[in-house]
Amino acid sequence: MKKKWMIWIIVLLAAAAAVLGFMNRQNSPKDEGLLLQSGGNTTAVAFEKLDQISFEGDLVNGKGEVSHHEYKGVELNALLTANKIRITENSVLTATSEDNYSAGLSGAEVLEAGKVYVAVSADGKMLEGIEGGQGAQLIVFGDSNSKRAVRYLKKIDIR
Amino acid sequence: MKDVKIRDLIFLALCCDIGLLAKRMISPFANVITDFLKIPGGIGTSFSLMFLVIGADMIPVRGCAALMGLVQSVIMLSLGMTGSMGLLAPIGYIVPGIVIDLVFYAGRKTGSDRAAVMMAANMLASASAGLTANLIVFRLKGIPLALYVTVALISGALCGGLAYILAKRLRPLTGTAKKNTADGKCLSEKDMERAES
Repeated sequence: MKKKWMIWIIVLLAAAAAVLGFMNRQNSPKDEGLLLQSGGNTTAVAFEKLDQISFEGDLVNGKGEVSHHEYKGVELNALLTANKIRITENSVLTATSEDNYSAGLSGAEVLEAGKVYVAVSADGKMLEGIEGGQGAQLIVFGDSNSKRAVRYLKKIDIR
Repeated sequence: MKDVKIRDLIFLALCCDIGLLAKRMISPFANVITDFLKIPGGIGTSFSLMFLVIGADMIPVRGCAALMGLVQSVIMLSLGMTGSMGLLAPIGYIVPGIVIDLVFYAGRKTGSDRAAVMMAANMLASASAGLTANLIVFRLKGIPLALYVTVALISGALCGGLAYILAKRLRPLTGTAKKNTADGKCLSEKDMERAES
């Protein structure tokens, strides 16, 4: 008898969660552009609406080969500030791609001028998303290899 | 508390560590669900709190869940793994511990069914952890908050059920096996006093 009402409570809660989940997804912003997640809120930033600047620098690949690139995009700290997201040196950021590759960043790195960028074009070519169209790539200058240069960048989680 | 055996304290410490580790291990799977529902969490915390519920059930000492929460928060602070709550992280660990203790106290007072008490403890502790995190960090309102708490309650109920099964199997490891002769019932206040003396 007691087991029965426990099961009923779980079933009722599951039904409530299903309804609330549906309503929550309906009310949430569509997953287009770059998603900035902070404090339980998600902000979608259209790649086309980024306040683009030109920047250049060297990247080092896994073999230690250095290549120079010219990019267009936005500094990550400026992008976060423009979207009213404040970070501290102790913040932890996780950049995730459309295919769920992820890389971690510290708040101190993001706050360092000229280190972490979100690029939308490289060497004059548009950076594509995993299914075509405009995409983005995370660029971290100064790394000993380019493991954190997340291609098909989709989401940045700030904690 | 001063009469608690070293073996029991080691068991509680193990529950603290496993709880922290379990949260890290289950996070990738839990995030798939919470990302889909667009809420900041709730499932991993319930799973982590399951080990506090097991500890509180098996070692019948008042305040032991709050103590485990305190130990967990010290571990997290010392490792610098405070997450989004920063220095306020201990609140997020201690409050659910206090809730677990209160539910077990009420369960022991009323001699309630152990499975129901463990489920209620895990459910309410998960909800309180979610509400604390919301108060400190997330500041959700309306539907997202209701969904966040509902998911915490469901996962808490499931983890509470799992905690009951695990505690039943683990009971021979601790000295509580003999004391819980009327299996299926929580220890009464008298049993508690006897266990502590």
